[in-house]
Amino acid sequence: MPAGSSAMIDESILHALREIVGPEHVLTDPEDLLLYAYDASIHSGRPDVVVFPESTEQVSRIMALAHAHRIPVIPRGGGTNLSGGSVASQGGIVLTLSRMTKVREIDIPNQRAVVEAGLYNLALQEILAPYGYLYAPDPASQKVSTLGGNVAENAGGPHCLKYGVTTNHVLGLEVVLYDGRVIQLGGKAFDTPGYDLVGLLVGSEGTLGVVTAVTVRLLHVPEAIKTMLAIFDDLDGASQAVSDIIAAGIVPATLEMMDQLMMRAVEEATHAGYPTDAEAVLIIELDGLKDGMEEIAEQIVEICRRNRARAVQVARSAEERDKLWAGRRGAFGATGRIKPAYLVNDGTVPRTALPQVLRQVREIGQRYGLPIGNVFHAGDGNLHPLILFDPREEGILELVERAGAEIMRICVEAGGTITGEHGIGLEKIHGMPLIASPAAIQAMRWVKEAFDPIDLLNPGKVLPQTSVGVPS
Amino acid sequence: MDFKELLAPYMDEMLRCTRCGFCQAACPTYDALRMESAVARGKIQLLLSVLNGRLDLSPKLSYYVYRCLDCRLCQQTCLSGVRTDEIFEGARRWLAHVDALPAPLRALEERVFTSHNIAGEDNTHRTLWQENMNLEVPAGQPAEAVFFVGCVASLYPMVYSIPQAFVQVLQRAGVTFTTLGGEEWCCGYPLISAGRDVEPLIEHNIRAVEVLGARWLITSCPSCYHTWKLKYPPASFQVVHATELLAALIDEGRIVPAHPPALRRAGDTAGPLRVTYHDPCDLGRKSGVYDAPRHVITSLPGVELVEMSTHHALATCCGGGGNLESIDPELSAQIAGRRLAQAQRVKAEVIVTACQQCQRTLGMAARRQRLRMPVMDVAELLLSTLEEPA
Repeated sequence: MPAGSSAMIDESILHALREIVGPEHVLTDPEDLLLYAYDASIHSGRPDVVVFPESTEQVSRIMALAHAHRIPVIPRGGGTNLSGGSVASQGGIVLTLSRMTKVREIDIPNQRAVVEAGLYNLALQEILAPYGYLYAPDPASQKVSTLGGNVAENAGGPHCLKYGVTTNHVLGLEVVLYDGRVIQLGGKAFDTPGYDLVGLLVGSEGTLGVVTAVTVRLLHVPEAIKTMLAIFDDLDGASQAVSDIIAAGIVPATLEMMDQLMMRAVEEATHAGYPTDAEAVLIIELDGLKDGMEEIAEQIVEICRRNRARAVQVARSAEERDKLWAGRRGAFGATGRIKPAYLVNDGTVPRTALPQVLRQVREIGQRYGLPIGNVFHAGDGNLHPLILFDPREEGILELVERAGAEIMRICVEAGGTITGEHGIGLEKIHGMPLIASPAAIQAMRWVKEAFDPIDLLNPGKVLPQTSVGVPS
Repeated sequence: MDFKELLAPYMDEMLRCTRCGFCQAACPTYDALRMESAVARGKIQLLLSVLNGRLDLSPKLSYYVYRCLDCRLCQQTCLSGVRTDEIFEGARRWLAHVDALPAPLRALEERVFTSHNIAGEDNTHRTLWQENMNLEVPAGQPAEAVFFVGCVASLYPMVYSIPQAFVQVLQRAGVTFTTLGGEEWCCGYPLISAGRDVEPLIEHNIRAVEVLGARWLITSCPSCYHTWKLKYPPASFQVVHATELLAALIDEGRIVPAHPPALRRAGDTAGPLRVTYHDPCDLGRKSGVYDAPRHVITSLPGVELVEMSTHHALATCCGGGGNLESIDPELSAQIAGRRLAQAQRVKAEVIVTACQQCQRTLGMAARRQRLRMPVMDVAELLLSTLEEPA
């Protein structure tokens, strides 16, 4: 049976919420509900109440209350979600974890940290830097995306090509279940017996439990870093170079691509030094031991030249490098310089298919008459075509969604998938049948039923409603 | 009439916000509150909703719009280059027009228009800071330079030391100047910031300076500086910030810093005094003056300038910006504490700034925290390095 609706949140429930988190941390005014009706996607949905717990115990009590009254709960971090995963599409309680920012433990000898879910990714990096350590997943939004949100989306980032995505760096979770019980999954040790529930929860988009704390693996800051910018006059050459670098057995720390449209927006925003007359650039970063790095760099330069690169520049200082990265990380935000809104696809394809898929994306843009910018994790084959539009234009949204659906389809047809790191959320639910058979969606539904039998947690996300069913 | 047409011209600019949320990382108010109502993205969505007819004007909406430092760090760091200054100025003009000013700002308006200063005191009290000094501060005399003292430095004893130090330095350099005494009226900054027109104040002040035949108007207050320079119509005299004048006096050799500042206590470490400079938003980001105050500091013997983690155009506000202190003093103090922590992290012994409001805000936060870190003006630090007059 589906969970309740707004009618179920009456004054007695609000009173109970105020008792739990304090009156100033329960918001119900229309202004406040509107402020938590959106994220960084094009979706919106107004909650009935917004609460700001500051401890796991408070989250637990809120979940118990929501459970008793069958009120949907939508966990939220920095509100930077790109697939509508953090909007309250069915009303309910928005559970904002932004106040839960404590660092519970930094265990350098064992290379572990235990932090609360509301801590920003970058805040953790800044805490670790003086020790000479880092947390590898580095989503572009790391300045303002929380570790809880990173876990929910199984966030990637430029450096995930070499180091893996969030799931490869999370060893333990503190989770509040749908009825308020608190469980500890995994921990500082490498593996735990039984089912890999940590792996299951990572990337579950807030639909299986509320993650309140995360135990992460730390890595030592590499001895040397070399950042290169390879400049191409044709997109094909750039994407073929990506494929060739990987095929040569080289695993750079990052292998990012940005096309001309995106470079123009980014350059206007950050003056990082991107060549706006070029068709595409690759941002290639090597890290690790100093020894041997030069040889690998030369090999990369050679591959780029073979693919008609106009030039390969090397960042000469940490400042130059930081500027390049500020441009790359800020790319989505900079699109407002071109059009007021965007829909970003997140398909992942085999690297050898990159040149062909990028051509198809361009063709879709031309056919629909929509500008599409590309800035993405090329080394992972993880595309981010940004369809740029002005929502005030009559009928444009439908057009954008159709173009987006086509892009999803070509990624799947090329042997890929519909999302690399931004999640399914609301936006890609209709694409789920493209990558999962009815039986596979059914199996996922069983998992959801096991963790949340009354569909309290972030309802209406990830799984298409059509395949609902419980095993008899 | 809801006068929403006053907001409409900003629609296109507001739509350029892609809701990426990166302004959360820049906004000092968000950093303290961690609520969407604090940050530019949220305020813009609220205003768009008003324009789209999804939200009505309410005291809460007004409170959220005004609960802002007007520090412009959101604009400085916005990747889409959204002009939050224009949007929020427009929004405040709209709110002022429909009489939706929060109560503390309404009271402030009343004080400024009746008393001509923000404190609501008799305006002749503007000269009280000069008492107990062994020198005459001219008022209303014809002179080439007029020192416009500003409401805060004139009427809040905690920062009397700023104009006191500044006029001492001017006199030692042989600069002839005058003040306006009780004829100085509030420049209008807090009311302009609240969305009000301040024509009577502007007209009075310009006339008061012009009648003295001045060629320069010197302000030590960055908000007065910003207002005179960018909000007032062009006048027959040039507007100069105190730090620009001090830097020029040092360069011309009219002021010679002679010895290290006498600020060390027994038992303090040896070596140069570690000084950090806090960029006032109205002077730095909003007016482009970054080098003059640093030039003065680095000209002093026995002083080492260390920058905090944010500085120049990216400097974090002290918490005293805009009208936040009137709206929510507790929040203002919290933000000041965070800026102080930045100074502590670079092991600064002294915070130097060039703004009486920054000095008050940071100084009060230091006292609350029982932190023994002096907060002083560039002029005060400079004065402490000069030989006593014979």
